[in-house]
Amino acid sequence: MTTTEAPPNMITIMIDNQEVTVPRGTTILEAAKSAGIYIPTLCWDPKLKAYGACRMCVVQPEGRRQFLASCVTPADPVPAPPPAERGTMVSQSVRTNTPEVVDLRKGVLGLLMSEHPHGCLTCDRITHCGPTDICLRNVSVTDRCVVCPQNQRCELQAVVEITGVDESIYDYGYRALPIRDEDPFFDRDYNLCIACVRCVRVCNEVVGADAISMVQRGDRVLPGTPFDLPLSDAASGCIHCGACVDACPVGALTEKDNKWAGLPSHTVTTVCDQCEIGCQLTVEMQGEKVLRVVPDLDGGANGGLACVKGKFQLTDSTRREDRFLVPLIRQNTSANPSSWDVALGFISDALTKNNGEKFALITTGTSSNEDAYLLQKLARQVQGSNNIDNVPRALSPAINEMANAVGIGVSTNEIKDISKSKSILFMGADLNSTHPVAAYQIHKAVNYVDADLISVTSTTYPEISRAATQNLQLNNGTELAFLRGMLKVVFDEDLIDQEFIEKRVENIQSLRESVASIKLDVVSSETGISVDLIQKAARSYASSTPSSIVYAVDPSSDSKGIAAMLTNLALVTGGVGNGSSGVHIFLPQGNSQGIQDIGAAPRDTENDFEAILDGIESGNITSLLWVGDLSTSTSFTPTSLEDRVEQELPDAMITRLKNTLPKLEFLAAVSLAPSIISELADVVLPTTSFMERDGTYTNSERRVQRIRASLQPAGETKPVWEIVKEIATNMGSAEFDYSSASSVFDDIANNVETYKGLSFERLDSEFTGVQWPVPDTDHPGTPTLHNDKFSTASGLARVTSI
Amino acid sequence: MPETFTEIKRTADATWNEWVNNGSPRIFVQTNADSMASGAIEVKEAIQDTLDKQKISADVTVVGSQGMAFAEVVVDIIKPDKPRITYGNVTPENVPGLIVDYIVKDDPRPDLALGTQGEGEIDGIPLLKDHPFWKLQYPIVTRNFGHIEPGNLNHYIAQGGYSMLNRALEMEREDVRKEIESSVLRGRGGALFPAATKWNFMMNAPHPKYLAVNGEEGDAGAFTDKAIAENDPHTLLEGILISAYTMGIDKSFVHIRAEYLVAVERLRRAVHELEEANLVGENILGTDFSTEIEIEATGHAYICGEETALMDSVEGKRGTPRPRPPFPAAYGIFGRPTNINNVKTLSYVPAIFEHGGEWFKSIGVEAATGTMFLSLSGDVKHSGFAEVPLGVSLREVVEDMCGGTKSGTSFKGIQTGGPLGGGADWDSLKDLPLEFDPLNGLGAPVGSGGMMMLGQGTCIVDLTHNLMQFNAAESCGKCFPCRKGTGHIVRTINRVMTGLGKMEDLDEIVYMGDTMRDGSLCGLGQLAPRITTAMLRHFRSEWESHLVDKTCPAGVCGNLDGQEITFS
Ligand SMILES: Cc1cc2nc3c(=O)[nH]c(=O)nc-3n(C[C@H](O)[C@H](O)[C@H](O)COP(=O)(O)O)c2cc1C
Ligand code: SF4
Ligand code: SF4
Ligand code: SF4
Ligand code: FES
Repeated sequence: MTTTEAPPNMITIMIDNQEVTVPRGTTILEAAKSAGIYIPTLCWDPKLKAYGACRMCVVQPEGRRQFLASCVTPADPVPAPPPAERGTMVSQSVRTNTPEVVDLRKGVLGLLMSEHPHGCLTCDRITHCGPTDICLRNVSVTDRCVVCPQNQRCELQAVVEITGVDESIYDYGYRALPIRDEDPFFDRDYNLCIACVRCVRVCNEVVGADAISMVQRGDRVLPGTPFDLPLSDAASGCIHCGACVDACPVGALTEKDNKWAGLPSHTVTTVCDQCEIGCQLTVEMQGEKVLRVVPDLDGGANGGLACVKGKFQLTDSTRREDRFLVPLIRQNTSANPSSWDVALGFISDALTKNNGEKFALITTGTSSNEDAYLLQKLARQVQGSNNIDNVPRALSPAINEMANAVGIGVSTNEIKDISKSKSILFMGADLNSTHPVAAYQIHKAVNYVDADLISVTSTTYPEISRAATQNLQLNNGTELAFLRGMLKVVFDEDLIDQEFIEKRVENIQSLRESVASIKLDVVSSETGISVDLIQKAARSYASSTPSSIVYAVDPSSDSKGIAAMLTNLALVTGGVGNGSSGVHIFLPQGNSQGIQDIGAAPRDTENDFEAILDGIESGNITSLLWVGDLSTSTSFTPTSLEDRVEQELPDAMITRLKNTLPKLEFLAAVSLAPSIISELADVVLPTTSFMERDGTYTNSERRVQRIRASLQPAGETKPVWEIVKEIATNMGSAEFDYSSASSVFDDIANNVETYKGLSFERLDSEFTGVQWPVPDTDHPGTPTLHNDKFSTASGLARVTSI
Repeated sequence: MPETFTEIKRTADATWNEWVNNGSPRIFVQTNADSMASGAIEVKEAIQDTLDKQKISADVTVVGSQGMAFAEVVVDIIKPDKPRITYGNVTPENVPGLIVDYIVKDDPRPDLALGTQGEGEIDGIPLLKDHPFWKLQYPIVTRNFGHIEPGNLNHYIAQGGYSMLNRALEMEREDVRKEIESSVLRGRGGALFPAATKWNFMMNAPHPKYLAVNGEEGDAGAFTDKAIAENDPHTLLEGILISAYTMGIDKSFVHIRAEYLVAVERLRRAVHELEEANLVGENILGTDFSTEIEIEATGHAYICGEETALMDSVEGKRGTPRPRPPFPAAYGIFGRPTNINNVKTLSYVPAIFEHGGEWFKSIGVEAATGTMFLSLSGDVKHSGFAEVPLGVSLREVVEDMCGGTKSGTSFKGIQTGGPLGGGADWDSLKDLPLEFDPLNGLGAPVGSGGMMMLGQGTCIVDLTHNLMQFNAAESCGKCFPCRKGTGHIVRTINRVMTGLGKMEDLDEIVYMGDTMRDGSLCGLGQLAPRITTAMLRHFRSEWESHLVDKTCPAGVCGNLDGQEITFS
């Protein structure tokens, strides 16, 4: 038992006589896991700080009658016992399975079974009974395995079995508490609760909703809500993300839908399409039925988390009753069903007639990369038109502004880098409803590393405002002024990173000069924020490393210039291209990033969204293909559970579209369900929901991830890429000979530089997705952009003058 | 320019002398929360009333309690040039007579007197120090109790207070620590860890660092921390300041139960006076040492006395223990290095520093230095608190000092160290000294000094049930063995008490106890089974009569007819 040589910062520990080498600070449990040694756990959750409550994970130091909870005990060397000299350290050596350890675990499980219904744990028929069998034995009603919704998916069941407990040694008392079934998405049956606190910990530590807490003490301790209110009560703070349900090891917290349906027949791993985070989700299926959705622990962007949209509302769009199931052709005022052949013929004719610069194409951010690729190919190759743009880009000047400064308009870092930041500057839309999992990362930073959270908004967002250490509520529409004020402070107080600027930034002199004329007291009276607070915010952001800027583009407000100013701030303080410090921009709609990458965007402002609408008005553009649905993002407010709010496009844009589109000779819409576009369209082609198709999405951090179909296409719906292929083929093109989404993707990899090293095979084997640029098949992907040089032609970033 | 300590001291001495020598009789009412419950306020009002009516000029002062709970309310009268007479069992009814008799008629009323204190004698009244309750006592932390107005800074300074802080501030921090180290002062919170050794972990820890002062005192039957805070808060505060200087503490949190109303109020007043005198805060006494003290009145939860739960509690969280490592010295309150000490431990510091570590060692015995501040309760004539040198014989403590049982029966045993302690039968205990190791070996740890004496009227099963019920109610519910184990042991004992038990129940209690001892996260769960183990070890026959003969020898458990009693 002497210290073995290990690389610096690596230590070794003997676990069951097996030498395991891990980084210093690793717990014994993690070390054992890394070596494939099983230790039972109940309160441990990989998403949470270790807690040390269930004591299931005890191990025994070699040769001593002592027990260590391995989930909270570091595997680091320990002081040698006398007679060794003081200060000598030796590697630990532990046993995970001595008779004493097993006996202790059995003792604890025995106690646990005195409160937990345990027919499912000790009945001698458990191996014979199926989940839906009628209970034949003398197991009391509340105790039967078949009445537990978690039967056979229960961690306690597994631990009991592995530990070898087959009888209940102590008197048992059922709690006989009422089942709390008043909440919208899940039920709480605290008769089954083992008080592991995982639900409360995830809610407080990670999600930041603080909706539940442990109540009472001793063996009456149980999770509870404020004043025992239902979670659907707005005062509870619950955002219905379901993280507690996913954390619960037993049947105490279970999804309402398909509660007793039992085990899945198969699972499908896919990515949520509801926002630009791209949470990886496991969809549990029973035949053609979606049982439940579980966020995937391996998910590169979400690491086991999700929000209400992904967890409980994923199938909502698929199940919409007003979905288009067959193509429709408009004759006079009514839209009549038609066959695909007829509809395709109709479109082909119209497009052939209105080709070249008379044709335009607009897609939303719901199109997959494959869809987007074929769409732009149709426009450019078949139609010979460059009039192609997308809705997210039209709504978000951020993409261009950032591209002007650093070469590409996309978040520079991984989403999870936010959680490491010492200082976070937050602006924009209500992240907790638009991109919830990013909001959790902010909360983690505040909670785990005491980050300073500077929230700069003109609306109150309950969760972010509460977590903020500097909650700055601006006068309406003065965001830009505020940021200029911050820049002013940064220059005046010399908080700039001179070395970084000299090496990597140009145009600094002109920015410095334009900042000189700013007067802080003017900024202060305009924004309603005192000079002190502006200074405090600037100092915190500029002097903390790592730092993050988090900006959720809000389509409903004028956001021109904000991204440029934010990028300026990051550039002058060294807050970008610098390890975990970065700028995070979140756009509305799930694949907003992918469609830019793939080229469903104009190469020139001459062909952008505005130009297209102008062209329609002036009669230069006569045909338009509109692809995708209009809601910019589905957002959720706990206060209005019934009517889930769908944020449509900003009013001004809706009016403009309504006035402009009727001027077209021909409008075709590829759509899931009715919208103002489909109402005006000459032809409507029905498309699959994202649950019904294969493909890839690229999230805000450039992570290219697979979406996989869990359901058969409804009615006669088809995926967009297939529709486009059929239109093009119908029009005589031989270039659209794709057999699957995968073959479309191969073409993308051939043509899109940043996606070069990718293929469906690779994305299927690297389950967490890969972040572009991926120049070749061996390249691991690029979590952080601009580390050595910026993506501009010169390699230098260019700050934007005010 | 802040005042120098010499100036502060000069003012304090002058104030003190003026008070002592003002020529009129002085009357002390020994007042703490307990005596107030026995009517101390009413007695004081009656005294004032009498003085007014009789037009007597005398000074009435609230002083701290000297611990004679058995003789509450205690009043002292000092006539000029006469020794101080201490009267017990004073009531609003008998006090007018006493005042008139002694002050006006010069009859010292030996019938009410407990004894005289200080120089000189009075005919017919014994010296208080010869009273059995006082013979053994050796006041160190209690030295000012009953002699000064609690929390009065001038009084405290006039008794020599804060001169040790003044001296420490001129010394190297490490030298101060060494002096305490040489005394082998062990933590009085129960775990007996050598104080100065624990401080060592803090010496080089980065700022800001904190000192948590543990005055939670949740044990049933312990009231000595409260006694210090109530009767002489400045001793504690000086101890805190010297320790804070030694470890370089930026802020001390004094965690004290909010129900200790008197203690909280007197501590707050004392801290306020310290702030006024620049003895706490920025640049104390003009040195470059700055430190803060915050009195935290907390909701009562026994578990919040556990050091890591206390830290959560100070942070405003639900108080539940944290796993260790990281230890408090690395990651304590708000994640900063934190040292935690009991109120009593810190209160010893000024005296040890004044007289030296060797002096402290000379008081106790080698393995247990200094004095033990005991909470005495149960079936004894003299209940209250008392400070005795370690190493005295238990027989003397129990039979002489406490004056035997109140019930008149013989002693059955002692329950020591509160609900997490243990106990033993009187036969095994009576020839032992009051020392840590021998008592520990017997399963009757001294803990933080709580001793509950048991007469024959106590049923051991019932007592164990009560203490275990306390543990079950106070378990925080975090870790599984303790959360379920405490309650389950209670239910099992309940069976024994109601005649429903079987012999196997005793094995079950032991097995559950082992699970808790080995598996629990914190001291509560680990130590809770000690009480059952000790009581089963020393009083097995009593358990067996409940189980086999279905009788309760002490006649407490009723007729064991199998009717289950429900406990809330
Ligand atoms: C359940 C439990 C309750 C405790 N309560 C107290 C208490 O009320 N007061 C106290 O000083 N120590 C208490 N302790 C001990 C403390 O954890 C800690 O050891 C002590 O405060 C350290 O101070 P000391 O070294 O000066 O004794 C308790 C321990 C446990 C496990
Ligand atoms: S409800 Fe589930 S997760 Fe929450 S404490 Fe109970 S068992 Fe644990
Ligand atoms: S955070 Fe976004 S991607 Fe994740 S589950 Fe919610 S809506 Fe879906
Ligand atoms: S031993 Fe008891 S008091 Fe201590 S952490 Fe566990 S449940 Fe809480
Ligand atoms: S997993 Fe370690 S204590 Fe629960």
